[in-house]
Amino acid sequence: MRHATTILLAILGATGAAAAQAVLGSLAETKPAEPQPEVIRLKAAPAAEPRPALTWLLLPEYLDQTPGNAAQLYYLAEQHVPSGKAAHEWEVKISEWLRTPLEKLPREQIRSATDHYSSALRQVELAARRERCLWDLPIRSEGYRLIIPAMSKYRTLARVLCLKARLHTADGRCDKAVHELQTGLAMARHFAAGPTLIHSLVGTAIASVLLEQVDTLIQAPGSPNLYWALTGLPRPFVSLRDSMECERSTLYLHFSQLRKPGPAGLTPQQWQAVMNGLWQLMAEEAPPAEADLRNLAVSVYMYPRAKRFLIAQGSKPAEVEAMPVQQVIGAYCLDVYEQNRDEIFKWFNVPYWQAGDGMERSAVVLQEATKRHKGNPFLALLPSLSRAYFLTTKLDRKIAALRCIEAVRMHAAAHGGQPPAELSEIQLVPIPADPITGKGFGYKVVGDTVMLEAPAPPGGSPDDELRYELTLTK
Amino acid sequence: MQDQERLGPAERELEQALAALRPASAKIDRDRLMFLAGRTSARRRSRLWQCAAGALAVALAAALSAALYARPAPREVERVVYVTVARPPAVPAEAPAAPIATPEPGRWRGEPYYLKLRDEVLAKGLDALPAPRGPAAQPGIPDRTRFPLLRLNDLLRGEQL
Repeated sequence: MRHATTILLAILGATGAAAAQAVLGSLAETKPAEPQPEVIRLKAAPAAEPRPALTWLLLPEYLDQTPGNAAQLYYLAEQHVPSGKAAHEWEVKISEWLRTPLEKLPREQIRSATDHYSSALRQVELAARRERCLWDLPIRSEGYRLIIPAMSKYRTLARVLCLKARLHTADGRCDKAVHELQTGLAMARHFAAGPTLIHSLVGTAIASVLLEQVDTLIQAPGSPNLYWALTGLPRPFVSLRDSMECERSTLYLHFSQLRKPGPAGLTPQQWQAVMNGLWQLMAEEAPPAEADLRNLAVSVYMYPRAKRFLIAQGSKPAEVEAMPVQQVIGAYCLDVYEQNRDEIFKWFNVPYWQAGDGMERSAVVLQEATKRHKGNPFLALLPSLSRAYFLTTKLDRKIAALRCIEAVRMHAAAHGGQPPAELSEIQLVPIPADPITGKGFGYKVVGDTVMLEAPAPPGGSPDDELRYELTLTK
Repeated sequence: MQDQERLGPAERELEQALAALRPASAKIDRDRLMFLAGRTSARRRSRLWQCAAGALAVALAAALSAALYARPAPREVERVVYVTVARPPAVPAEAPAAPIATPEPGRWRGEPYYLKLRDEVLAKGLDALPAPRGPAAQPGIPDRTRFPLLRLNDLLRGEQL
């Protein structure tokens, strides 16, 4: 009996293993579908240059601006964004309506839903037309401990602005749609002008959402040509200059003793305080005793390597031997940090199409440095920023591509509705290059359809490509 | 006396020597006593300190070894920025329902300060931005900031806005 049971179990086990292997094998053979780039398909009529040329603007014009600081109004707007279960349901609906074709929009429902946001949107409308926006955040005193105000609701407001622009477009009120776009793009600029990288990315995201509605507006019957409105937008639309300067300096804002160490450098106690502070930052408020212990352990681990590094960098061996342990380790860590930091930040001084390769290399160098200089807490403060630079430039590429589309519509209006065979045929207005590659956009004409393409940067995904198909209508 | 007369010369000499002896009182040498007590005490303390120092050294060595082995893996700093701009919000379990992903409970100790928030945003995109805290306008309740008269009435009733 016992033998029979054993044999039965063995058979069952073997069968189960074979079945599992078969299932795993079939799973391994199933490859995920290759992601395809999104194609933006437009149907629009030729449209001549407006008279006067700057009739349409996508940012509030000077005459519409009022003195004052916009930031206070944005804070006020954020407080009046509805919340709760009902608000969540509206937001789900808003996301759906943003994807609904214009002719199928439930206009009354949309008006009812957007009315709940009217108080917040009014503050945004006023803020967007203020002359300046000073967020006045205490980054200089707080450094990495700066508390960032909640920003997620501004993205909700941007979506509501998009929906309102969409609604006005469906109603045939291009002027009102442009007004909403002006509000949203001005808000994006104000956020992007904030002191941190997060502000820049929020501004980029808001502008990206708003520019999708330009695609919609172009297709509206009788829509104006927005070539000069798009050309009038700042380039770059989101400048990373200020936020990158802030990023590069935040370590020294946080540990001010590193900036002005005095003629003899930091004392061992000061170095210890800096290292402990760093470990506490990394460990999210780790107890000081734990930071002390980790600091001690890392010191034991790093001291010989730190001495070798300083000597290799040109310090005299006797001087290095005479230095206190904390000073040796601190000087080593900071030196490695500063070298790697500038390898990243220097690329923000050139256009993306010139910086792309260098930024990718610097990211690899940072990865290697993190492995080679294991335990250096300063290196963990350095983010890989190439993606942030790409995202802001991708926004500029969208604007440049829309300028090309509008240039084609303008050319067609002057040539009996026929698109140019090449972009270089367009003589009425300058044609922008793709800011990602620094070269012209890919362009071809198939029948009445114009195709505009821009590749993803090296190492990018299909989502990073850009493809427009514009079918010219009569 | 008779006995004395019976003593021999040697015995008499002994008797005289004994008679010359002066009785001495039983006396404790205080200084020596203190010295001996101190030395004994010091010896005991010395051993205790050695034992304590030895135990501490062993404990410290064990703690340092544990810290070295158990320290977290170095953080990877390659970060992919993925900004989702038009994703429909996820359905939350309960109100208050914000479409933006909120950090895990207890993730932030206190407020989300810049370093943590920046790293989260670079790693996960803007959905990592925390939902705002505190009261916000509720649907169905009159937005009193839109109606100054309501605010005035509230103030006159002594209510705080």
